[in-house]
Amino acid sequence: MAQWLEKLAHWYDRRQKLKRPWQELRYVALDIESTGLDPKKHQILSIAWMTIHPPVMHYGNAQYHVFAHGQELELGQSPTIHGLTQQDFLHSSEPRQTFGMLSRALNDAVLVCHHKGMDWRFLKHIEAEYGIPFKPLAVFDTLAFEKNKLERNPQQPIQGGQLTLSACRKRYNLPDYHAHHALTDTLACAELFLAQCYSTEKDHRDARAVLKKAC
Amino acid sequence: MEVNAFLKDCPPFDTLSEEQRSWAVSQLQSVYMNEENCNEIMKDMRPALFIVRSGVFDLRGADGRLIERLESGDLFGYPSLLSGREVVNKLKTIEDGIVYILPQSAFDRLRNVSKPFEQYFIRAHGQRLLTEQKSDENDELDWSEQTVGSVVTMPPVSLTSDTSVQEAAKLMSSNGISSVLVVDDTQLVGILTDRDLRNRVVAEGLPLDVRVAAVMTQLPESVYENRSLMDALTTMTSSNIHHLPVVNDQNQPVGMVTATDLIRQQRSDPVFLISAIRKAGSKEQLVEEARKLPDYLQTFASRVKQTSILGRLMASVTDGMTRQLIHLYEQENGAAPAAYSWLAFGSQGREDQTLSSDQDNGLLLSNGLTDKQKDWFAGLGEYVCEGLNECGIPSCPGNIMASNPDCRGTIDEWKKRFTSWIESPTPKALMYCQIFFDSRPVVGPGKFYQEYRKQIADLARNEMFLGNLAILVNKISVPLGLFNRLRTEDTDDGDTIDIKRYGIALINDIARIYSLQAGLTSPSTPARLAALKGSNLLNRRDNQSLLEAWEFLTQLRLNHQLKVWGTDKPKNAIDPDELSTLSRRQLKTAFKIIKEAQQGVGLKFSRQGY
Repeated sequence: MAQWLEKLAHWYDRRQKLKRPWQELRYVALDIESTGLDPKKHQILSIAWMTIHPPVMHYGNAQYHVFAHGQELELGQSPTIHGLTQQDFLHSSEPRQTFGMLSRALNDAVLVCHHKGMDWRFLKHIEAEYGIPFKPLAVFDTLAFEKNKLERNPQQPIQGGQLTLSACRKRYNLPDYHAHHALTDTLACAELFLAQCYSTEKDHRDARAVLKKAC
Repeated sequence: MEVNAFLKDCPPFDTLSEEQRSWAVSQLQSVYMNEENCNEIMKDMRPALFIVRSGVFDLRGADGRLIERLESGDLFGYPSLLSGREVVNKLKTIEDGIVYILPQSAFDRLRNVSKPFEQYFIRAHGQRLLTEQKSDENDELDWSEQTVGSVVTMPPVSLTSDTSVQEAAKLMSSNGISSVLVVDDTQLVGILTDRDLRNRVVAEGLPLDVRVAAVMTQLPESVYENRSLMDALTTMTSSNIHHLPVVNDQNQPVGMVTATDLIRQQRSDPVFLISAIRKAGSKEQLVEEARKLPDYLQTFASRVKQTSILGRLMASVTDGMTRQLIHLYEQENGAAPAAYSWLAFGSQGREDQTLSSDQDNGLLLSNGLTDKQKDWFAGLGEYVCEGLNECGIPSCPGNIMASNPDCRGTIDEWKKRFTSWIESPTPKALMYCQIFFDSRPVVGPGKFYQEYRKQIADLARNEMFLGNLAILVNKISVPLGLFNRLRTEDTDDGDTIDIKRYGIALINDIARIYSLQAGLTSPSTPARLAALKGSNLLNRRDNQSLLEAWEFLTQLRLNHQLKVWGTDKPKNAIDPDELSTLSRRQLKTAFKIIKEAQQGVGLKFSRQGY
C-alpha cells in the first residue's frame, strides 16, 4: 500500500516537474567506457558524469572514475584502452561508493547520454548487482534527438556515421574533441545536449516537449 | 584532458604550471552561449574571466560601438576584474558556441601564484600586449645587439699630435695599453700603436723626440658609440685593423675597442662569415661565401632572442660584401681617384634588410671630376652591383643602384634630384623619397657623407612635402576588416596578409615623416623612434607602441622567411591561421596601433585629417 502511494507521489511529482521550462531542470550528462557491449560479459573501465544547470556546465564537480576490477587489467598490444593507461588503473575507485554518488546525483535530475541503450543497460545491471537504484526523472538521448531530427527529412536517408557524437557535434559547429575518454565524451555530450535544446523552437520548450524529441 | 589541452595553447594559461592549470580547469564553468542567453550569462556570472572556446561573439560598448569580435581563444571580461568597475559592455552572438568562465576568486588566486599570468592581464589591460613574449625565451642579451659604447669601459687615453714619441711610449706603458688616440681640439686626428712605434720609429732609427704627428696613422677608421658590436667587427675586418677608435655623435673620441674585446664578447658564427667575406681574394670566392648566408642565418636565428637583429646582421653582411667588392675593384683598376661615399638606401640603409630584400645603393661623388674619373666610378658601380647580385642580393627592379648614372652624383646633383621630388611630388617622386631618405654610408669619410645628409635633411623640412607623404601613408589601409577581424587576401598561396606592405613599411613611412620633420638624419626606424622621444608631435606612449609593433612584425617576418626559405612561397605573406593564438592577437594589436598612427600623421601633417 505505502509503496503504491509512494509510486503515485513520484509519478505526480515527475509530471509537475516536466511541465516546467527545460532550463529549470537539473541534468546529468554521463558516459561509460567498457570492454564491450554486454554488461553480463563485459566490464566497466571508466565512468564520468557532470551536472548541468542550463546553460552552465559545472566542470568543478565533474566526476571521473576508473575501475581496476581487483586485478591488473590486460591492456594487450595497445598501451592504452579508451584513453586509459596502466597508470590510471592504479588510482582506481571503489565501485559501490562511486555508484552511490551517481545514484544521488541522478536523483531528481534528467540523465543525458549519447545512445542511451548501452549506458542504461549497464546502469540497470549495476542496480541489480549492488542494489543501488538509479531513478532519474527522465532520459535525454542526444543520439535519438539527432535521429528524429534527420528523419524529418525523408528525402535524405540517414547515412552510416552521421549519428556519431562527433558527427552530431559538427552539425552544431561545436569544436572537435578527441573521442573515447569518458570525461571528454561526457563534456562533448553535455555541450551537444545544450546546443540541441537551444535549437528547438522557443514556444515548445517545456521539459516534456523537449524530452519527447530525444527518446 | 580536452579543456586542459586547450588552455595550454591559450595565453596566458600557457604560462601556468601543469598543476596550476589543472586547478584552473577544476574552477571553470562552461556555458553554451547563444543570442538568447549571452547577456544574461554576462550579468549572472560577472565579474569573471570569459574564454571563448568556440563560436563568434561581438563585444560592444554601452554606445553600441564594436569593441572586438571574439573568436576561439579570445578572452574578455578582465578589465572589470582588474578595475572592479561595473561591466557596461554588451555581447552579441554571431555564431553560438562554448564559453569557459573563470570566476573572480579563481582568477585572483592565479594572479597571486603566477607572475606571468598577472603580467599578461596588466599588459593586455594597458594595451601593452606586444611586449608579451614566449616564455621559453631567455633574457640573455645577444652580443651583436650590444652597442660599442657598452663595452668601452675605460675613458680614452689620448695625447696631442705635437707630443714626442718617447712621451707617447711612456704614457702607453704606464697605462698598459697597446694603442693611443691622437686628439687635437677634441677631434680625433690619428691613432698610434705599438706596431707604429716598432715599424716607423725604432726600425727606421728615428730620434725619440720626433712628434707623434709624423708617425701616427692619420684619420683612422672609427666607429660611433651607438653602433652595434657587429658594425665594429665589420669595420675592423674590412680595414684589417685591430684597434678601432670609438667616437660620439660630435666625432669626439670616447674610447677604443680592440679585436680582443670583441672576441671576448663573441659567441656566434656570423663573425666567421664576415671574416670569410673579408678574406675572399676573388669575386668567385666571395660569391661562394655569400651563398652560405641563409644557412648561417638559420642557425644564428635559433640562438638569438630577437630575430629582428637579423635585419641589422644582414645589413652588416651586405656592407661587408660591398666593401670587399670595392676592394677587389680597386685591385684591378687602381685606387679611387677622388673622395667618395658608397651609399646604402632603403632596407640596407635602415638596417631592416631581409633575405628577399633587393639592392638599393648609390654613390656620392666629389665635385669637379674629369670624365675619366667619372668612368672609374661608373665601372665601380657596375662591378659592385653585379657582384652583389651574384652574392644573392638581387638587383633592384627600380634600378636604384650605383650602376645607374642617376644614382651617382655630387652633393649638388643629389640635392637637385631631391628638390625636384619635393617640389613636384608625383607618386613616383614620393616613392623615391621613401627610399632615398633612408641612407647610410658604407664606405667613405664620415664628414663627407654628413655634409650631404645635413643638406638633404634641410630640404625635407617642407610642410607641403611632409603633408604629401602623410597623405600617401593614409592611402594604404591596414588589413583589419569589419569588427577588427584580420582581413586576408585570397592568393594562390591561400588567404594571407602581406605584413611588409601593410605593416612594416607603413611604420617605416610614419617614423620617416616624424623624423624628417624633426630634421633627424639616422635611417633606421628604431633609431628614429628613439631620437624622437621627447618630441612634442609624437607622444612617448605612441612612440613606444610603434616600436613594439615594428619589432613584433619584423620578427614575425623573419621567422616566416626562415621557414619558407628555399621554397617558392611568398616571403612577406603570412597566413594568420598558421599563427599561434598569442601571435594572432598580437598581429591584431599591431595593426590597430598602425591604424591609429596613420590617422595621427594624417591629422598632424596633411591638415585634411582622416
